[in-house]
Amino acid sequence: MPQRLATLSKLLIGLWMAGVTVATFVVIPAYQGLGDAGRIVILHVPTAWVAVLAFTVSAIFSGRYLWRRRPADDDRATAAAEGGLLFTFLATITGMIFSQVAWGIFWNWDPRQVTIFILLLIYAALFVLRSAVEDPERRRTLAAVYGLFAFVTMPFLMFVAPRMAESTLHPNCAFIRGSDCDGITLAVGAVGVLGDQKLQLLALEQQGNLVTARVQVSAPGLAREDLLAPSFDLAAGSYADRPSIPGQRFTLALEAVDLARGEARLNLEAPGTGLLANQRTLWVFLAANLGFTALFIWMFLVRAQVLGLETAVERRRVAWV
Amino acid sequence: MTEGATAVYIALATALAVWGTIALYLGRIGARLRQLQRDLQQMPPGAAPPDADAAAQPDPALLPPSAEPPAPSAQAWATSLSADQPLRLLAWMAALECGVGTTWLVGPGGQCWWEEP
Repeated sequence: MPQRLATLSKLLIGLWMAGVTVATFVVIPAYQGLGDAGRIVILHVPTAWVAVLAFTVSAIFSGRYLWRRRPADDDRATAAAEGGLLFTFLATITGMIFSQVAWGIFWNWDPRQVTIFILLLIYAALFVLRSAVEDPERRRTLAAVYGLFAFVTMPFLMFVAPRMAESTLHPNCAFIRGSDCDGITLAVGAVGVLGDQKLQLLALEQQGNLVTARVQVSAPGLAREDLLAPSFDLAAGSYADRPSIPGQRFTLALEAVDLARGEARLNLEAPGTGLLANQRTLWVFLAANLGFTALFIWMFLVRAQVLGLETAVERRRVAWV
Repeated sequence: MTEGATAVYIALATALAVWGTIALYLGRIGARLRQLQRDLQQMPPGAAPPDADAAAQPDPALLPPSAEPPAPSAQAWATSLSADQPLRLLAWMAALECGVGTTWLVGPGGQCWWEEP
């Protein structure tokens, strides 16, 4: 009976992920500003999420090993870390491909690219450490301690550091709203700084429900100045047109207007911001997260058992000799 | 080929690369698991080395002496896994993805078949 359930579970995971893959291409609409490249996000973000989950599981079993000293806990910590490394690698590769299609460059040392690269190196070093220590007891203890320290860096590298950066191509505001995501409110004629761009709101013009702002955007050192016209749809209560800032990969969004006071809220946005506002995209995205998590559990269970059996076979071989 | 169609194919190739990597990993660990289970069955504890008793019958009920018994669910997952299962599954998914669902339903502009042009 358990074997039947296991086979059924694996079949369900396969069907689920097949459904997610098909839905990624036929159910999700092309996203404005990203087009079909936006579909890669449905693979990219869940792989990153599963990496976080895997490193967390690894840290839990590392802690359990230090507490109970059972080799099985070390096997599970290693299996989870290995899965985490694999999914971090996949997140990096899919992110690079997305970056090339959407922003025209594979790697531009964006803060989040740098932090995920550091995380890859940190966890790669765990396996280097494991291979460098011969004594099994010492190897397990050192790996568990290192695994816990590596885990402490993970939330900072995955969540905090990228959001502290003022200039990033990643849509930081898709999930949280921080001070840098609020934009700036300018009165007509006023000047403000957003990121490293100087903005001056020259005018607000209304035509029916559409309000258009005339904004002068100046690059640092006044290297260039451009006149942009982002617009806001009063009926829909959201931006209408977000022009790209010349020489940058950001768009300029008019997020709110107060015509009575002659004020407008302007913001820089990376393409992809607001991707999950579409209901179909959101549900497929959540399904992808669930499917990838199940895949990780599958991989984790099998790999942990392989590691346990390797130890058992080795011990038996030693006993025979 | 338009830019939109190119992006669709790049996204498809990315999906296939992800599934291929996961299938490769699952296939490798599945094969390793089966090999280890065979090794373990050929070396029952207390038996003489194979040269002295080549006809010794393996006892599948024997468990590793040092490892913790795996949880029932893990055991069930492992024993029902074969090396080529994930590959077959992923191949099926790839066929489904490429042949049926996507390339000719998603137009160059990312238009789905039920949407108004």
